[in-house]
Amino acid sequence: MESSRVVLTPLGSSALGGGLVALLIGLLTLNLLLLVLPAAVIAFTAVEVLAFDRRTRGLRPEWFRWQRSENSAEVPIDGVGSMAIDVEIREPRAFYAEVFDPQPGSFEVVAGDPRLLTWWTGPGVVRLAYVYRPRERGTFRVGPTVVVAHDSFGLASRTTKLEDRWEVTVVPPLSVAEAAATRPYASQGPGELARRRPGRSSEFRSLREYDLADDAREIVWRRSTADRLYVRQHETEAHPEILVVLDTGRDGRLGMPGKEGLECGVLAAAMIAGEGLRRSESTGLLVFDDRPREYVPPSRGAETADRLTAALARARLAPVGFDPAGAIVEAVQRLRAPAAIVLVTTLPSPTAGLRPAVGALRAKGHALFLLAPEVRALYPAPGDALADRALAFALEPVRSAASRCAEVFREAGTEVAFYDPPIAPDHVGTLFERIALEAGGA
Amino acid sequence: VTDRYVVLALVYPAPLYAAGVALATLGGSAAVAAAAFVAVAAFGTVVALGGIDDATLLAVGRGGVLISLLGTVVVGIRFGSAWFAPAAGLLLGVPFLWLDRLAREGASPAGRVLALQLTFLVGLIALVAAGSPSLAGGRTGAEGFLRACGEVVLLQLRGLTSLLAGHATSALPLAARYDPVFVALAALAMLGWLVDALAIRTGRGESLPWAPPHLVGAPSDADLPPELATLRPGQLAALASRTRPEIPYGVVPAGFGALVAAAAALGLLVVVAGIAGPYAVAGLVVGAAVATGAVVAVLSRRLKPVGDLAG
Repeated sequence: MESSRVVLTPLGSSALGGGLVALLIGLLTLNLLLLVLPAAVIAFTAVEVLAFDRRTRGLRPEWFRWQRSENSAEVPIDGVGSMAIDVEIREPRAFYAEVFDPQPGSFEVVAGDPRLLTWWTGPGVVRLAYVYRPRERGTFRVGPTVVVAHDSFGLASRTTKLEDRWEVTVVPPLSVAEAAATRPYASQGPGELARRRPGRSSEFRSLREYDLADDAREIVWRRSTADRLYVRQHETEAHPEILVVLDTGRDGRLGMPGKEGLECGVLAAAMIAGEGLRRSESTGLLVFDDRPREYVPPSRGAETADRLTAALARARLAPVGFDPAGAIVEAVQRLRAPAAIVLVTTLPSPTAGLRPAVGALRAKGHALFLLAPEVRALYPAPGDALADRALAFALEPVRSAASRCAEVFREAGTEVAFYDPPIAPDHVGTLFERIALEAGGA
Repeated sequence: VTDRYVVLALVYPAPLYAAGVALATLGGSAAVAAAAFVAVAAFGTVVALGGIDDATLLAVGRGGVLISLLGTVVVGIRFGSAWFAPAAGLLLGVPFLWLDRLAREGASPAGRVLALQLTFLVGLIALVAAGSPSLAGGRTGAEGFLRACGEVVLLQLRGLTSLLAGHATSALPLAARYDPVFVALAALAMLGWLVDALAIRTGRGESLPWAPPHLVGAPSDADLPPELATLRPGQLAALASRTRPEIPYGVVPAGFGALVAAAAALGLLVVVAGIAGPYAVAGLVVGAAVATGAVVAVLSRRLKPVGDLAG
């Protein structure tokens, strides 16, 4: 550990430089009147800097004891977080101190102050406490707390850092655990998604034609011909898994600040995951743009809810477009059991490679559901007829493209549903009814 | 009355006095010179009072005065002495072009010191020129004054050159001229400079707490946002018990020592100058070099392990 050095501030260097130039002018006159001023400036600046150096010499973290307390570790994006830090100076020194707790730019301090300018006499305790409102989801680091010793006239300073970093996760407005704890959907009880459905188990059900996605070991060679291959289809008694695939592609920026498509999707994903866990289904999450960004394998329990919430908190808008076919292929590759895959997207596009991907998905016993917000509902109605029509006109190309893509999804065998954001509990209930129907009908 | 007015009230008398003494010696051309002086001083005062903030406009104004000064001198040399009157007035008004530095918030310390030093320099030259008609080369009025000013500067530079060459010289017109009134007014002007120099602040110019909170405005929790209701009691208690800025009660504030040291250095300088002038100048040069060297040494001190510091 090292002691920090004294830094001459711009005021200090200006005072010293100005004093020296003034001295030069004074020496040209050799008049005492013109020598007095530079002498005063130089003497004052030099003595003050040297005295400050002596007063704060050795300023380093060992001078202090510090502790964070009453700090929020998880803050909903529509809530506020609290941060408090006690710093005790152990050295018997007295100086002007600036104690500052740096926080991310997306935190807006709404009460208290993360910064304090005070006369500090040791030993003494300083408590910084503030409340902030986060503007962005994600995991953020607060700290380290900085202590700056200032001389009284702004000529010099000395800085040290107290390593007390703290991590804050800004989560969606509704965490998965909270969504799982609420029971807004009357349609289904826990475990009702359990159905007999095609899958891999020992109980033989029937034969069907071989698909490229099938495991070659399941081919029944005795029944197959040179033209047609058949595989065994088994029957399984299982809870279908739920995999929420969240689109973080660039279309997620559509919408009003703070209520963009991605934020609507994150909230929808949290509610769907929560409902899945509430029904005791194994629930997982795949965050995807043009490649997988995060994957939480389907499982049950409170720990899973926390992992899902943390993953949703980290979901960030990507500068690339969403690749639904790629997301489906990725999901199918990762899943180990038949699942209901819920694709939560902003705009259903593009559709290249979609049909084979969905075909492979269905062949594995999975079912695909697509959930997207109504494009028009991402923007509030302006209020007057002309502005309404102008907005509708502007959004029409986007809306019609989304409708066309949605049609392709439907033709490929996907259940497509649009909702008015923020997603209502009824929508989630209806989705789970569909999932149950699909599971039962398969 | 704001600090700005206080500073101007303390600083203005010195250059006004020097200009008044000089204008009084100009005879028939005094009226024109005074008009030019008043115009420049008025411009400087408007700037100092915050009437003109635009940097371009300021540069144009200052440049215009300096070009006019040179122009009138050149035209006067070529076409006749009538042009010297405005030139003399402009010259006497030059210090006012930069005196706003002393009154304006956020001006650099160097700018303040140099503005004041320029004021003293121009005032001293004007007083010496006005008090030495022999230097006017037989000319009178504004022309004689300007000529005397030029002579004062030339003689001073020659004298310095001679001194540096190791020859004794008595031709240093600026060195030993002390007008008691100007000295007193200069001391007053230095008080104006001190108003800013002694401001208790950080290096970013932010005020440090030095007065009881009711004098500087205490922070208030009156407008706490409604979301705070979601916080735990412990979090609310931590917020309520956060430390507020404290002032150095019952102790000699840091920085007082520097003031005492600066005052002592000045006293010593004046005493030594009274006893043996050349030694005072030499001592000042050596002292300034030592002080600057010490500051540089502190700033360039390499980071040391804690064990070394303990020793």
